[in-house]
Amino acid sequence: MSSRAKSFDYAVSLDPTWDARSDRGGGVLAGAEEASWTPEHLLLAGLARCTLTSLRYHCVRASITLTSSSTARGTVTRRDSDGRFAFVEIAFEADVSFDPKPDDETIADLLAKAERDCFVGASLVATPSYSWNVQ
Amino acid sequence: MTTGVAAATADAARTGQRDCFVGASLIATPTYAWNVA
Repeated sequence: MSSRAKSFDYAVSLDPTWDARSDRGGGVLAGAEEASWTPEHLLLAGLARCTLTSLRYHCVRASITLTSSSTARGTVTRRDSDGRFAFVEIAFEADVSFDPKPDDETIADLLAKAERDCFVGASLVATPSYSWNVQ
Repeated sequence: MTTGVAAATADAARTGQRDCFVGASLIATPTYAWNVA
């Protein structure tokens, strides 16, 4: 007997001015900001937020309060494997603190789960590099 | 002529899909549907 994995669906729409809306409501991501919030920046923001969301999820399960901030940087160039321009390097870095602060082994386990369970990171051809500054 | 326009439109769509950096960065190949007015 096979079990079906839980699934999560997401949708966005762009209107003729390229204002973006989530199917979950909330604010509008202005199309006029396309030059500063490029699609590539949005992907990096998605990776950063997803990774921290994943970490927070595992912290909550462990009754740990997380404080976090992060950066994500990426490089797009022609990919050797198929000649297409795509992200070939992505680097994620975060400052995190835990309350209460668990032992080093538990922290390493939490961070590994955060990387493993980020949907966005798992969806990328280029595997992101992760750097964690634990305070 | 219509065929030429249709071919050019299809070519533009293919180029748009191929040259999208984000789409090319994803493991799952997106499906694309273009409603050309």
